[in-house]
Amino acid sequence: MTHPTPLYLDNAATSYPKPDAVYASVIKYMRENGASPGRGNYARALEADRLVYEARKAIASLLGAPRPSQVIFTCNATESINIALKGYLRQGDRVLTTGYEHNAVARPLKKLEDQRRIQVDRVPCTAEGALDMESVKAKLQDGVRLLAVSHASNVIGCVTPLEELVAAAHERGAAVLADAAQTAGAYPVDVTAVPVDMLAFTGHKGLLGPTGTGGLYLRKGLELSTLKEGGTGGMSLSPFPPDDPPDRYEAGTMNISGIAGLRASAQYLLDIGVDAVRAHEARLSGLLLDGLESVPKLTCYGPRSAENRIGLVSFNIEGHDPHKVSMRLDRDYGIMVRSGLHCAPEAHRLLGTAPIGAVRASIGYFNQPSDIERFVGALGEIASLPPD
Amino acid sequence: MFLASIEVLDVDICVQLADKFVARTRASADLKEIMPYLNGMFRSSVYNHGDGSIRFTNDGIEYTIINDQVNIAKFSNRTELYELLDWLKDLINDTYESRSEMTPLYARRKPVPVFFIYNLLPKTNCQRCGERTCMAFAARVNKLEAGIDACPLLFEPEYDASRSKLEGALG
Repeated sequence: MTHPTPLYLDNAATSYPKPDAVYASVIKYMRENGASPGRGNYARALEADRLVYEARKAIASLLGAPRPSQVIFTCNATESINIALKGYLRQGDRVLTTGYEHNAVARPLKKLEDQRRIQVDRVPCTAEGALDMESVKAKLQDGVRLLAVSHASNVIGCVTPLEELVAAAHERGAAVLADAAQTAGAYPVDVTAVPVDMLAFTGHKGLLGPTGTGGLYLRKGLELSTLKEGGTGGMSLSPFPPDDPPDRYEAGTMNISGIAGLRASAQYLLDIGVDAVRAHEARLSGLLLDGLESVPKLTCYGPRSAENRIGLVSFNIEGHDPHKVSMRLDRDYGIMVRSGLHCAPEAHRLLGTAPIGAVRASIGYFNQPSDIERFVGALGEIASLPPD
Repeated sequence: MFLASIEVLDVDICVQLADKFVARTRASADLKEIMPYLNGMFRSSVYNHGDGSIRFTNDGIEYTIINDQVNIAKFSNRTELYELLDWLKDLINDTYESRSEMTPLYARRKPVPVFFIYNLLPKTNCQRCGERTCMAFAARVNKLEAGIDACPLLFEPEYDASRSKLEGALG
């Protein structure tokens, strides 16, 4: 059986669909402008400058950043996290992190353990992602220079208590890097109210922009070593990168067509409000959690309440391989979800689901309650099948 | 809205400082009407009512406005330029909205004499301000091309009195 209309529930990987203005803006830039910003002096190049600035301004506004120049554009959150970790950490530094980080954080840290002899410690947490705050405070006493945490887990769905963590870290002299890959655009983020030192985001998930876009917010005055050096369009006689952000970190021609789309998606989110997105997704998450409870033999991971989680739920059905569940959903019901380890093996170890992983359904702003009903119905039918 | 936009016409390297830029831009409205109010706002301003021009500095950035032309100098990159244009546009619109409660200043401010400034400087020719001599630095301060914050020695306790006098004179 092939379902007539496809149902996309893999928004934690990348959001789909995008607002119509995103497609239109990418095409408009590519067809009608096509120039490189920050370099030429002809009218179209200056228009491209303006376009990139407006994108930066819209993102700064969504994140609560005081100035657009504090937003550095990158290709994705992974690049942003690499810039942050490799630009900030020095030989022998101590880093504190969680036990549910994505490989975007875990792998650069692992490399720096080898290359710069940094010491990485992890905060104990429950299978629902609740951190032991007393342990956080105790570990921070130990000369930790950076606390690197996901704002929300891409497997467990838990939201990290960022405000409490930032206060504890700053009190003890540690800086904070937040990985907002799963939250920016879909869950309120405010770097002024919760003064993280660095915040990495991607443009193609909750921000509803094209793939190949992302960025890093940097606290004013924080200067990192550069990960890459090259042309920035100005000060070309100097053999060194410029001192000031964002140019310092943006060597090479950027993904302007992607940024054109990101500008449109950021403006879309500013118009409807991230709080409205969050409310919609929380409502659907609640329906999903309730619906999954009715499916026999299904184990749901992460916080029980939709209030304490982002719009994704990981689960397994007893006796059924998660990859096969995912394949059946696609083949027989037209429903797209992601199975496996979700690039976050540490989170799956915490859940006890490594090495096989779990099925993850992730909601987007354009999903509706009827989508949840259809998904839960399909799972009920799969659960009633004989075990694999 | 009085001023809808400021369009960038070109960006170039700053002649005075090799690591800074200058830009020529055009405002969507003639800014003559607002100039006396800006003149009252910035102690560093040089205003010419007859020509319809004003020049002032703010946070080390130089602004020259002639009718609808706005030239901005000494910014670090194009992102900063657009931030400055946003700031200027908001300032002009806020000033326009509040002008009935403000006092316009039509008089041309008198520049502080070079020798007055020089006499209050440390006169060590230490070159930490980027100039070869204290006299050269005084000349730049007189022309509003530099602020006294470029002289680190002035911020030593022994120069507190001199610095206060300079701050009073320069605003």
